[in-house]
Amino acid sequence: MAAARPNKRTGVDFKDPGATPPGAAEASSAAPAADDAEADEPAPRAKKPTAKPFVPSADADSAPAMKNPGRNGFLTVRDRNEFVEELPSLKEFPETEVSEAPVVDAEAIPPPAPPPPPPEPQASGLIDRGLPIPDHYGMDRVQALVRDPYWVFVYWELKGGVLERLRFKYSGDVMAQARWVLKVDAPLAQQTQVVDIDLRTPGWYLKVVPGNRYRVELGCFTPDGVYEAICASREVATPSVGISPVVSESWMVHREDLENLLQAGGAVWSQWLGGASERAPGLVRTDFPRAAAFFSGRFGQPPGDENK
Amino acid sequence: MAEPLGYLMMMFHAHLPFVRHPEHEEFLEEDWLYEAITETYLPLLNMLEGFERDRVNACFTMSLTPPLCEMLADKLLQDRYLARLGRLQELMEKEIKRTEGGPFNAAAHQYRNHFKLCRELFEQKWGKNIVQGFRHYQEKGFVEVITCCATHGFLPLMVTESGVRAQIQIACANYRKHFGRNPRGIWLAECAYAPGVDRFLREAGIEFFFMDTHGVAFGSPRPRYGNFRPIFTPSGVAAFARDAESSKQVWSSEEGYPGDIDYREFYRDLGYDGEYSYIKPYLHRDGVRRNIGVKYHRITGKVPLSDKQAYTPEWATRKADTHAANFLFNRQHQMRWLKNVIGAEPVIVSPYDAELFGHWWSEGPQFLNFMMRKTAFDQEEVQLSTPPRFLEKHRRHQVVEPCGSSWGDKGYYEVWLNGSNDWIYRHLHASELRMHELAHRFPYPNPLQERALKQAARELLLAQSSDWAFIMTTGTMVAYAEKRTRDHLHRFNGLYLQLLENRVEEPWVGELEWKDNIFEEVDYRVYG
Repeated sequence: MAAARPNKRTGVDFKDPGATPPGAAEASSAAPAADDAEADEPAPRAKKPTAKPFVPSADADSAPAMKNPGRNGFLTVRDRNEFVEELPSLKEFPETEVSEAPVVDAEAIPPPAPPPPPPEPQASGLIDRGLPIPDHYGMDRVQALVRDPYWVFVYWELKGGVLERLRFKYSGDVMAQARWVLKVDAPLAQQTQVVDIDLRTPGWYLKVVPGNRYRVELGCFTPDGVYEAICASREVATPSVGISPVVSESWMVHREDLENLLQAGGAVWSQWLGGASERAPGLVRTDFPRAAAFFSGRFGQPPGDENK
Repeated sequence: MAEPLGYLMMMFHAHLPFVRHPEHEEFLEEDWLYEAITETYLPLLNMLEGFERDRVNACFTMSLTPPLCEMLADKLLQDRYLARLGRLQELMEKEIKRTEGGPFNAAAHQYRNHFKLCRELFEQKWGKNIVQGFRHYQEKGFVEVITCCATHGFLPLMVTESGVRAQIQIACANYRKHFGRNPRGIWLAECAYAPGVDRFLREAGIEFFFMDTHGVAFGSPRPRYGNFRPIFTPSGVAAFARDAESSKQVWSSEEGYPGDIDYREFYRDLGYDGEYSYIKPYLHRDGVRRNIGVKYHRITGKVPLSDKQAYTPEWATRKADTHAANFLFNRQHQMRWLKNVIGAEPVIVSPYDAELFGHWWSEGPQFLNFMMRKTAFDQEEVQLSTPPRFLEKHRRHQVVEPCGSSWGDKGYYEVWLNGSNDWIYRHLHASELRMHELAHRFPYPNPLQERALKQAARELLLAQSSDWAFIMTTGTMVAYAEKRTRDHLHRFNGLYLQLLENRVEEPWVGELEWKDNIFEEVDYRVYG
């Protein structure tokens, strides 16, 4: 039976003396366990050529003379191949060393799978959430922010000394039992709502109504029912959510257009128009009903403050 | 030319947060800028070049936000962009060979040609600074470039007048630096308005701004023309409101044009499809697969990503042409109907994120080019216009107090104020107050103090960017948004304490100036 010739079967260039011939290893593993008297011993392996490091040997007699040593005395890859070609033991290797190997059907053994590629890198799991920022700013404050027509967000900070003053005034025990509230004033609706809060939370979302104005005051009730106002927010306005019921119109027209129109009517009205609007140079604002009457000649008085 | 039935105002909001990171050799978030340059800004400049060459009577409005202008004019980022573009060009040369004879070859050719065009425009035509390109076309009358809040700060959620004023005044100063004149208009960050903001706009010489539909429609007194004519706020600034119908045609992921099956699929990218060792040199140094901006598949339909079919550029171009015609057809009908209803020429305002065109919707620039050319040459009912052109011609406007609003989800401020991001405001507001205090305490600073004061203003402005709160809400890249917020607040508070304690550390100030070099011209006194 033909001896396995791992170098031909696998197509692997077996010149590299540092490589293990794959076929040899497979032949070894495929050997029947009780084939002969050596069953208890490891199956005979194709003799692995000595893996010699290709470094200049100190013993000049034991190492073949190196040709073309590379930089620093190391051989280049090309040099290595040339070197191997000169090794008689390697040239004779298939016939002399593998002849005792177990019989294996060369076609039945698949070529070795290529080594798996190294895993692709994944995004780092390290998360940098930034540099430290202050926990507080040494203030007593409450702030209201409109989120939408129906909700206002309120946050607060009591680090400006007010808590200490209250503790001094009432004692720490009293303040520990105080009931903290947000007083929500809606001046347009003439309503005030009191909302209990937990001071330890970072903020509070208040349910409100569209098209209104709100001012939020942070305060507390002592166990005796005394109310202490701490601080108040600025006034905020929630947006409207529908078509405005207000239909009286005012219009912005170019000053020169209006002057031309007035002068075409024979009147010298420009003396009442004064300078251009401070807010919008070149533009003059007119309240529509008055302006309409004014243009139609039924309004005998100068436009008054309509330049604003 | 006959009087049109009405006016169509296309408005493109171009914005990216300030994502310049000189402390790293490469940085993931800087890719946002490079992708936007390649996919959106340069294609728009190319379209404008065509308008000039072919004498197309087309115009549109575009906001270039101050952080974007600063990044586009930054040498470090310009050089990094060119290096990245060079790598993509190298990849496409390989791709042309690799895909030869296959279904992806036409798309590969398209990418190669596009990257070549990008290099020509970016490097040769505009000397790496494409802001100058937009300035050129503004001076030629094809585009009205407007500004935005200095760092895209969300004005309704600021609590001090000085904070609001600074966002607007610093934006105007930056616009003057890049465009040589004062901006005539502004895109309020996130289209967010609250009563009173108009006063600061007027103070800065701003003539007009944009709002979402309900901001004007729910204004008081009732607007006679709804949202189809501009109104003037009590301070005398014109407000143009968004038209919901035309927006939906483009924006909607279900009904909008960008979802057509022939258009390019965004989520199938060579960065994931390519063999790893082949694509690795074009990824970031960490070797993690990410989008690289080369995509060979079309949307195909509602199928898994693995079943997407090859992209055919000719089909997509034909579809963009069809959609452009359809968009114009719909505007004509809309204007006929509106003119009958309101008795005046309607103004249809169609604002979009500029990056929609090209970045998300690859064929978007082609769509715009076709649509504007058809509008200019093929009909007379719809006329393209810009707010300054309209206001010069139409001089009588109703005065209305607009309603608080934004163009975010649900129309108000919830995207930027909710449980995921409400923690930032206590810090931002305290910093606003502290900056106001600094401006008062240091009217005559020494040179080092002045540097620290200017840097403190930069850090506060950068922390105020609405992008961070937005990202926290959307849930992607949250760590980066939190880090940016905290880092800028940390730096601001450090500078504040050093100034107050009269121990400003010059090396640290210098390091911050190097890292956060936005607004070299910033005047901290606007906070006074």
